[in-house]
Amino acid sequence: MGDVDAAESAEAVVALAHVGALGDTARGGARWTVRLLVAYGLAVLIYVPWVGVLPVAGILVATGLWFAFCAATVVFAYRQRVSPRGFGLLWAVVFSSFGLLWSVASAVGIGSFRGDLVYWLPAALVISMPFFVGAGVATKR
Amino acid sequence: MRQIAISHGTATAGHPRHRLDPVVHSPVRLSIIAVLMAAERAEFAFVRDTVEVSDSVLSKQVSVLEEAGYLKVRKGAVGRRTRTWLSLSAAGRRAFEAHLAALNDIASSTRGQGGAASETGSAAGRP
Repeated sequence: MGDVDAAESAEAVVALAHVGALGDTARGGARWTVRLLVAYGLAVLIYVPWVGVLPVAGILVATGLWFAFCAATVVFAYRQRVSPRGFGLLWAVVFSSFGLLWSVASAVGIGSFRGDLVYWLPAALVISMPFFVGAGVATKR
Repeated sequence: MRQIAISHGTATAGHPRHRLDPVVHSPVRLSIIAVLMAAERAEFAFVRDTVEVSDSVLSKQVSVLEEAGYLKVRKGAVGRRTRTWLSLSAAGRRAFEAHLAALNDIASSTRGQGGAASETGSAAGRP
């Protein structure tokens, strides 16, 4: 009976290790969300000061590039083979936070700090934070 | 991976092997669920490549899990390609967690018994 239990125990240990390894592989396949969130954070760091400092023609170019970037990321995300757990909620929280911060910063900055990098650079840092925090959360999952 | 026998008798109902889920216990199905447990959803081809089985084997096991209510299958199109997405249901996640708990108990309980047996052996003066 002891031998049977020992064999069962050994099989259970092997099964648990196998399950852990497969879970790691699946999580590795879902790491693209981290790269995408970091890419969004970096894009915001470029886009926000650009919009705050440049004249209207520059803003139009920057906004066009921003939407092209967003479209490319949508295609990229749609082509991925694995979606990580909690992806929808994380995405919703990150983009809602970004939208809120961007609305407040642009409402204040366009009226009072047009062309002032001392305002727009820190604003860009703050607005990009949801993406970097989201990337950190996705890394830990 | 070998298979731990699942007993349905009542004589040793306290043993954790009685809590193993026969649907989850098959090595291929356990592997499929282990992959999907870490994901919101995964493409059929990703699961096939990760579990290292053929399309037909995966299809058959997916059907078993779907019939048990543990797995959901959705089909969608990307351009001209049809993609099949697999995801676990809430019941599937619960079943897997319970199965893992039973496996953990099997792995740890025998270690405990082994320790007790060796102590008994020492007490009896065996070498």
